[in-house]
Amino acid sequence: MVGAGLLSRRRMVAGALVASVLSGRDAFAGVPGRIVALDWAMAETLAALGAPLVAVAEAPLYAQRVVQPALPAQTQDVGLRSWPNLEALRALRPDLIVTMEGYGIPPARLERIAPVRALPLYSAERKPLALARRAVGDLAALTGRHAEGAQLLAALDVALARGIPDDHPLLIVKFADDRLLDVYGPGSLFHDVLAAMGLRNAWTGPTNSWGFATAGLDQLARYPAARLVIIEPAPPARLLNSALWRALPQMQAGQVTVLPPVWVFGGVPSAIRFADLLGAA
Amino acid sequence: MRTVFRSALLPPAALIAAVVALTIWTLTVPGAAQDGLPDSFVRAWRAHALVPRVWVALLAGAALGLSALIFQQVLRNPLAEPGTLGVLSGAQLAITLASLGTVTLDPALREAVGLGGGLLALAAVVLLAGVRASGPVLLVAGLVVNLVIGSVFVVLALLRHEYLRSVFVWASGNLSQNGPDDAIALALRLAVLGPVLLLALRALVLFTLSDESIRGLGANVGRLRLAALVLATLLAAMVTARVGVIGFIGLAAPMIAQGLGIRTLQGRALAAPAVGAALLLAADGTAQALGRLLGEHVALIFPTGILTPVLGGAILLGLLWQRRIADRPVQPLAAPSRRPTLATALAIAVLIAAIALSLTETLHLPALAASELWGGRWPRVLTAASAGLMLALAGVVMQAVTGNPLASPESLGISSGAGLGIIAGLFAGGAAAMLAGAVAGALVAFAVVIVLAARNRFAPGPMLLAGVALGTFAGAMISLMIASGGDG
Repeated sequence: MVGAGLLSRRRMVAGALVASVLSGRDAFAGVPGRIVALDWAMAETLAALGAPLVAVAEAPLYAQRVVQPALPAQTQDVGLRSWPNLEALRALRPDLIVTMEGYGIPPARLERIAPVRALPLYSAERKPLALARRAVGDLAALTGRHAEGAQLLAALDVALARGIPDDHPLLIVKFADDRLLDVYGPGSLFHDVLAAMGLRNAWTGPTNSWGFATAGLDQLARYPAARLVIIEPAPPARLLNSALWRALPQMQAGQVTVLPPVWVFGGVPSAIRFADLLGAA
Repeated sequence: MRTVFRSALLPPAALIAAVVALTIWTLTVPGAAQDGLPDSFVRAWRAHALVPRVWVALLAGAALGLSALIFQQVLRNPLAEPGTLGVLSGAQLAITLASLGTVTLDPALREAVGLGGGLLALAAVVLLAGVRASGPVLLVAGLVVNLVIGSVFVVLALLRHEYLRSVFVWASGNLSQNGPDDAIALALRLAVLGPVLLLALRALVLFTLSDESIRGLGANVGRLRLAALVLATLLAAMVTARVGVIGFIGLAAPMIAQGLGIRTLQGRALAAPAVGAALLLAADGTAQALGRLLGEHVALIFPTGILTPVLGGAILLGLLWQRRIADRPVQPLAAPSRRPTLATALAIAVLIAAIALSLTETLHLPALAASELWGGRWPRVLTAASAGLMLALAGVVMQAVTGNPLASPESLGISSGAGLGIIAGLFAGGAAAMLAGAVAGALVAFAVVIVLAARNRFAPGPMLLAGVALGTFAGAMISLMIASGGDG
């Protein structure tokens, strides 16, 4: 992963130089030199491939929520992931815009600025990891980075093959505020990663089309045998000091793990990061 | 008269019975959803979450009911309450501003900030309307302040949207508790403020007279009103700080107390908090029951603040249907401007300046040529101008037809009905069904308001009340959908 990142960054700089010399939208027949990603799963995949990203929606927040792979240093912000600033987008003169299918601004609005590729992650089959793999292939083909794509998928297989000596079922949660939390179940990236690692997701309740459910603390207590895996930002001290929190069966059994931030709606790089963090915890 | 009174006792008795049953059910922690819970956790859950939650619902509902009653009494307007006068949204905005960047703010600090925001919003309303205003002018000023606060909120949400989720969760009113702190805090504050306000009732009875008569009795009207409003704002702000925005209790509780046939101020001062407490407990019990019954099928939490407009709105619309809400005379708005040409010229000048700026401004994007801006911008400018024009026309027509100076697409619930229709259309048939949904939603909302208004002989008060009830209901449904569609 680190090696791929270095290699790709060098390539990115070279690509940007060539692009500025030729200064053309159509300089590369088929291989885009200026890519804008509006969705973070696509952005992180393109960053991992070393593709020439010029802008990512909500780029500053990406560093806090997605963390790795880091975006190229000069990556610009083009506004919201759901509704970017179209004028800022136009001013960047991209030759490819990558989005997630079914999320945010209708592709027809973007087509007037540059060619658009909208790749699916959350579909009726509810298999985001499989679609994330396919997105790596698609984006690698689109940017002419087949070797990097194969490398990324190989890194995923290595991460998923890592054995974790823990037979507890897991509850993957992220706090929405100090009383409510999101639990990731079937249909989420994390659920697929757990399954691929041979681990069990404890959550058996319903989930929405993004693969999570919003719940209260009492819902966590339904799974006393589970290990609680909290994704940062961690819950506030007021909650952690409360009698109710201490009464949670997972707390009493000492089965609570806190993981650094991982992007919950991510692609293959986030899947790798999640598997690695889980293994290291 | 007696039969009216007798039949009026039935609904509250039924409501109280339902509330008691719901509360007992929520406190027993049974059901498939909680199967397999360890005993130690069930005990802790009941002691630290369920029981405090009942107390918080009762105390917050009572505080909101009492606060609204004082507003309505000293302003002599049945529609003037913390919600319509911007106090709740002012408190909400101030607390949101103060808590940006930190996930949780100390509750006492939240209260102080909320009180400041609520008072500022109220001051803005009073200044806009004029110190002596009490009729429709005050409500229009409240509407304006609420709209301004709403747009500041939207700008804030766009700039700091990473906190949007938790803000929406809090703003939609969530009564879930972790420990007895909120219940104890609310009880202590009510224990101090309640008796003070009940003692002050003797003075507040004066407000059934005109300001001139009160002055004739040697009382300082302005100071009395100010003191009462500050205390009532304090009540509303402390509830907002603890549990978020619980809309509609304030509007509905005193109105229902009146609809029950309670005439004296002393009677209503006891009935309004009682109705408020019962309403909020019923709404919260319904929210918990829905969560428990549907918990196996849907992946979301039902916020209590969303069910209060549904429940309170249904009761209020029922009372309107039975013609139980007495109308108070609404004075006409101030005479139209004596210089219409000047006002019109000014409006046109502002319009032209706004259009010119919108089409040419490149403050943050020097890389785009004017010709490139033009193509993307004229549709937006045209859309915005047309939308404004159509809304203004709709307002003029509605005000003329209903003879009500406050009638507008917003105040009659038509805008919110259209908004709900758009979302329903989006769910049912995708983007193509949005327009049909908007039209259908607006027409249904309009039809309901007109039918209810017709039953009340198109009296201005009941008509606006029907519109507000409907609008808050639709708005509550919209925010439920936003809160459930989580992101980041």
